[in-house]
Amino acid sequence: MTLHDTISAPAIHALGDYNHPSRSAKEIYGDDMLLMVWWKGNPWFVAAACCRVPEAMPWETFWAEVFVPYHEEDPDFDASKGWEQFDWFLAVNRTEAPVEVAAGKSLADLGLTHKAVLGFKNK
Amino acid sequence: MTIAPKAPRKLSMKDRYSALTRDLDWEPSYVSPDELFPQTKFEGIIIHDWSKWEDPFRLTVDAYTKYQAEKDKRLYAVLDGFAQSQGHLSLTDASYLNAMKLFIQGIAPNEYNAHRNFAMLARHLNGGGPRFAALCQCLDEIRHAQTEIHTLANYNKYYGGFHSFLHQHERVWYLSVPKSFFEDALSAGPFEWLISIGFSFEYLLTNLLFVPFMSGASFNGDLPTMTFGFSAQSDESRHMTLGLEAIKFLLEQDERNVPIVQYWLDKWFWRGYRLLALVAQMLDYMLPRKVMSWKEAFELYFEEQMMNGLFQDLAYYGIRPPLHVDKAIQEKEYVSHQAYWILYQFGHAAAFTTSVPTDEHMKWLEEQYPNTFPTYKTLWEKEKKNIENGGRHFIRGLPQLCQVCQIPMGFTEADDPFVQAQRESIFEGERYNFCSDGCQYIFDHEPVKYRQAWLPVHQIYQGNCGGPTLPDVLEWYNLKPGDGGEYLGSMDHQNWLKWHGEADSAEGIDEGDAAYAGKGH
Amino acid sequence: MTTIPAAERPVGVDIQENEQNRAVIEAIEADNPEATVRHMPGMVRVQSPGKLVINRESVEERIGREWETHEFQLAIISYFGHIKEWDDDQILIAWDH
Repeated sequence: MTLHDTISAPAIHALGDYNHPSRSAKEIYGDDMLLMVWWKGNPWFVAAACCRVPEAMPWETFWAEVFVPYHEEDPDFDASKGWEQFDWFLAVNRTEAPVEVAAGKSLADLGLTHKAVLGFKNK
Repeated sequence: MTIAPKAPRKLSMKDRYSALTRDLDWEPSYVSPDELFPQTKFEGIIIHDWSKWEDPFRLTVDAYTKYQAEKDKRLYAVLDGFAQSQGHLSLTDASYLNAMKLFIQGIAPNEYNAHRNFAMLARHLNGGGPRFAALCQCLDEIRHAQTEIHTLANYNKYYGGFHSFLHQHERVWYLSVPKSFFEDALSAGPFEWLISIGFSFEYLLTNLLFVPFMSGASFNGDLPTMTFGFSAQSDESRHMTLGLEAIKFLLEQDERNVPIVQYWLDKWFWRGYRLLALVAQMLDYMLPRKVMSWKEAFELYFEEQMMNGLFQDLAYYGIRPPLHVDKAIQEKEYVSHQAYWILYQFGHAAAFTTSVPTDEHMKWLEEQYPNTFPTYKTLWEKEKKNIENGGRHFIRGLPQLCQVCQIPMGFTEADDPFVQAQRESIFEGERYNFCSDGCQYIFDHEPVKYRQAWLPVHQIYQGNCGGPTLPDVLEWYNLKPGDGGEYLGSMDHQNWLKWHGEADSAEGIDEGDAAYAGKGH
Repeated sequence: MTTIPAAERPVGVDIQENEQNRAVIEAIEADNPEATVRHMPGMVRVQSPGKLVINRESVEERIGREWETHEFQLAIISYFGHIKEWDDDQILIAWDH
């Protein structure tokens, strides 16, 4: 999936050439990506989590092996209610685009890309 | 006072300064000024007349060395007395030292960085006046690094968290915040350095860093830190003057400098302000005996002195207060609560300890922050229950970091105390995350610089920090048992109780109690 | 931003509170009738609307020995305003504009 730039390259004031690559480009992680997982409105987790996950990881594996072990640390979180207890969305600045999570879909199928913010909130 | 009586002098201060500083400058004859000073053009700043630079201190090298020597003599006398008298036992509490652990890990190495860059300015500025001022500041900064390390070395004999400050400064996640701040400035040109460190940090914000730290030391029985702090601050007033002269000089030299300086001011105010979140939580949460709240300090040192004083003066040149300053003013009500909450839940990976505020402490917070603390108090109530049930809130993973300030993204939107701000920009096909409009603004203006950020979380995931598991990373950080985590029951806490339970005898006070003492980097 | 005239905007200095600096603080108070003094742990803040002067002679009268204005560097922790003048006889802090 190609992302469209939101900013254009500004002028650079430097002695000599100045063009260094990103230290966290997608290629560095191979078939994995970094994914931010953000419980909106729950301050128990002071910031969104940053996880390294395979793009091809099925949603149910992500839920069981990545999501639940991390969020169980909140004594009010009940994993047994499943992922249906939340509304899921892609957070871009202040906007939310709904994400239809479902077993059998991969993270990439859900439209999640490197360093995207997967938000969720209590229904 | 041990200063020798003055010998009669023929020259006034003004004439001496002129003779010993300005008159020692010369015009190059066999190279061009551009060859001699290759760094003062590329930033776009235009200087017509370097001789217009003012130095109100009129410092000459003899006066400089005489007073600096006196400052050091006074400081080292205090350090000796404190160490000989087991002064560390008269601190308010061992937990007080968490503020000093942060200080030596986060600030002392940056004094050294400041020294390096002012040495560069002392070589590369075209004017003799500013070169000499930069030389003095270069010597000051290395003195600060040395005196801070000497002062806090005494605590390293007895307490955790001090032993590997330099090693940790280079590696540990929360120390990448002050490290990257200074390195961003170091990697800029000489004029941007003058505005970023000389002006924005030293003049605009340094009071918020040093004065509360040192008053806090005084109030918590830490005489050596108070003394080194005030000793350093006496140099700081000269640094503030250099910063203020620098900005006025640039603005007076050419109108085309104004927008460049304004951007630097917008940028470095926000960078500095975000860094000071560490100081905000220190004032409100780490000092056992409180001096003033962050909110009060911010009102006194920033709003009154800078907004109502300095920026009125700078308006004359067409300079407005920094962008996003309104957000900083609004955040004074809650930034410390959020910053401490970040440190608390990642405390298992830190070289200082944290703890739930006591009831008395929470009462103080409620008095200081009647509009906001009750909201954050609900978190501490939940955590208390969690602890009763055998838990202690330590996050089981890694946080999303801001690409610019590198702090875990725990700062909220203005209109909701529980919704963290999410910002992103996409540059050359890659997404970058930011904690605030202020940090996003900086990235959008310099994406090629900031995309290189060494973000600790991303580096851990790339396998560059000792290994894939938390113990691997902590070992790579050189964190030892007792350095971080919960304060209650920690090694520092247990030693403190032991030493004070045997108050009338010196038995049991053994430098070896801190088993890792001296195992430095 | 509301404009406040330079003559009204406060300037000030933070000084270490110790025996040596007592004479300096007293001299500042005597020479700046509108000055206000605030004590904080380990330090004293003196501020005054528009400007603040420190006179060598006033300090010498109180300290009982010669005092050069450079010595003020041992006392000062911080200041706000602009150091407009610092010569053999006087230090003047004021806003420019």
